[in-house]
Amino acid sequence: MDGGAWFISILISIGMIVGFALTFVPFCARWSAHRHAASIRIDLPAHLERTVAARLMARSRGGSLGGLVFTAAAALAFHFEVGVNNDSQLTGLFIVGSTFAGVATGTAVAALTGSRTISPDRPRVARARAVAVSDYLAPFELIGARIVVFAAVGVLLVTTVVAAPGAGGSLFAIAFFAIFGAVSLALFEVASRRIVDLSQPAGSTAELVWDDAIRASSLRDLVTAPLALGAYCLVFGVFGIAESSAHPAAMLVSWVVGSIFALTGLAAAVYSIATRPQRYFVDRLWSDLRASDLDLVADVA
Amino acid sequence: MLSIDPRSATPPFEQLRLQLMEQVRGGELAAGAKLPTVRRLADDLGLAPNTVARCYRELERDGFIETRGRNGSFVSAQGDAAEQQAQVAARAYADRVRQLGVSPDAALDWVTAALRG
Repeated sequence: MDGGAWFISILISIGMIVGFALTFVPFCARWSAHRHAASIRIDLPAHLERTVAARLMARSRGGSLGGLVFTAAAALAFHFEVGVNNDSQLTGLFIVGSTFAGVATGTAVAALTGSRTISPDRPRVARARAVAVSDYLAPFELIGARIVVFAAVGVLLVTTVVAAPGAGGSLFAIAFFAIFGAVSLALFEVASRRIVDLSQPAGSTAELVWDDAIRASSLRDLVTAPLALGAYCLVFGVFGIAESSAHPAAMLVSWVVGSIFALTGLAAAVYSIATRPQRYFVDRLWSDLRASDLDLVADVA
Repeated sequence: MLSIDPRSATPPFEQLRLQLMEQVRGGELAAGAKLPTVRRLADDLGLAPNTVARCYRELERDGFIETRGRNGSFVSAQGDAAEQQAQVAARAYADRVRQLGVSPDAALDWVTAALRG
């Protein structure tokens, strides 16, 4: 493993350790809760601040821990060449991809293991309609992740047939990202359904809204892994084929296809920022909160 | 939104049934909308699964919802289930009043008093 890959591994590990440590600082927990409230534009009632902050921190803790474990495991695997190719220039990206998978795994575990109880003599509220994963994630992300991973697996199949001669390192990159992307997509599909199926004990509308907010955020963390790994496969893997291919025609095709994927990814990122997918669940499940978030406060009062 | 108050004099079963009926009648729960599973709603509201299952059964009997096997329970397609059920009940009452030979005016007075009571 080269120096650049080590640098990336250490940088990510430090970031994960710092992130993990900050989850135990009350000020950071409150700041994170209010930042989340601002991003989804929903008031955070004072009496819910502590609960919401604690749940967000538990999720962050899981993500940081998962990211750290996966990053360290990937770095060691590449260093000792345990079942992986060590001579690729993309090793740093493999490490980053492993971090995404780790964060998703840790977030999923944290989201599935947290439990909430409510005093039996308190009034309870619940939604009268069944919900699905598609109520929390914008189609752009939900369907996009599937398309990207399926395309990555398709690219893997095509390249193993067309570009296999003399492209061992690039093929490894494509195989790495495509397989990890497919695994993380499978993890997402299973974990997201289980998260949505968890009960939502709530004593007020505000509690239910915030439970939805935390769920939506967890699901977005989960879907990031297959999206990122699939995109890495489509862009860096295909460009890698172009660089290492011995056939001019294959090189040209790889460049064109890689450029198309890169431009599509860029356009998708811009579209994602513009449409604010973090608020998708509000429009879908709480459209009546659009006019005024004061409803939440009134409800709590 | 469904709300269950354990301190209310109305039993939780009745609170749930009435709220679901009102939401179907008022259009908040549109025809075809999928209801939560019995276990999920029971967990969310802190009720026994049997309570929710009984509520669903009664709503199905009254035509508000329908169960589609393993797919779950859905709001029934007929939008005016409550009015139809009320009309059926009114018809049955009128038939019985006739059988008993009670005057229509007296029967109406009793219904009015019962509705206001």
